[in-house]
Amino acid sequence: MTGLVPLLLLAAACWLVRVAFIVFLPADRLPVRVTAALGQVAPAVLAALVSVETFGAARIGDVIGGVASVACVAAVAAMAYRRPSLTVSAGLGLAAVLLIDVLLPRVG
Amino acid sequence: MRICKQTRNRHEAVTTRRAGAAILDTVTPAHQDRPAGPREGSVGQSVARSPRRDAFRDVLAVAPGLLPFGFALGIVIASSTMGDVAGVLGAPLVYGGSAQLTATTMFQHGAGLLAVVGSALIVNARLLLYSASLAPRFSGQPTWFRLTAPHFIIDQTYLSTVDRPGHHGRHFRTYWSSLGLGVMVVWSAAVGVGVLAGPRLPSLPHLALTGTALFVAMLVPRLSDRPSVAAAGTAAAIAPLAAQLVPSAGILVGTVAGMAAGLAARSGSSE
Repeated sequence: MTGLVPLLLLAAACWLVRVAFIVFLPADRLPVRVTAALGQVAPAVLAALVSVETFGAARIGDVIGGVASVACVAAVAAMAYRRPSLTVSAGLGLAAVLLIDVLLPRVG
Repeated sequence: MRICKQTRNRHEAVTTRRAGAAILDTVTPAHQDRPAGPREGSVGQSVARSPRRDAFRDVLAVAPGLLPFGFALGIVIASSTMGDVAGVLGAPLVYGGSAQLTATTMFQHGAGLLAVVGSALIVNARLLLYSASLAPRFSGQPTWFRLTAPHFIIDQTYLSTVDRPGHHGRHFRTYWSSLGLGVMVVWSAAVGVGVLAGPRLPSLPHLALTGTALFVAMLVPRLSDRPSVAAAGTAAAIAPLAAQLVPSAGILVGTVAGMAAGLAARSGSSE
């Protein structure tokens, strides 16, 4: 159970981070510019996640897998632009995983 | 280890989104009546209805993204020296996949306690931004709620809640608690299943693409104005560069840069 100690400490630290602006430092005391910038958190963090994840996926395995990973993300983006559906996106993502990790290695 | 470590370290393992095709397909039309947002779909639900029902729908919506990431984390835990029980207990306690993934990986490599906790905390530092952003929703709530409920803040709950601006007061408490607990159950179950079954499955190093696809689907409808596009574009450009220098801080640095760009674009367009 020694592995539990760092996780307990991490849980406590994460709780402090989560309550920081809700309990200890009320957000209404933040500078106006910071408050305004918070309105951009969602697109910024989503784009950062997508970008880092896509770069990471593209670097796993061979070139074909990398190209297929980027193509998958592009296809989902195109689909989401026409009709945002998380169900379809999940399906596309899963299909891409099976294609890249199961099907392509067998063909290759 | 079946999942590429490099990918794992980058992963927002607690990631995202939406499940149950039939359920979501019934959700989507309901949102088409509302006047908001530039493009509406199953992303972005602004009309306040039953908070429990909304939470249930959002849990179903985020589940497809959570399951593979939780599963992947479970596989990592099963192959690490951290211990299966500790790893599974850590899922609801830490409630942050990328942070737990980082901690597990560093623990496996023999890093010291402070290094393990510190690095994992950096990965989760964007929760500070979520905390500041959600603070108005928590203001006026009872102290017990403000102390305990923020534990549920993760990417999925934050993004779902931003899209539900209509819940306030008691309704917000009900919505947030139901959402947080529901997502926590899904997440913990996924980790548990990953610990038990993962090692017996074929290698799927690109499993994270499922979550990435859902993030893309959440991002695209939000690109509705110049500030949002500037924020997203800048974050997308900066994050991988920053991740090359400090892997654990890439997403945070990209996000902050994106926020600054969005703010600049907003100032520019209002002048």
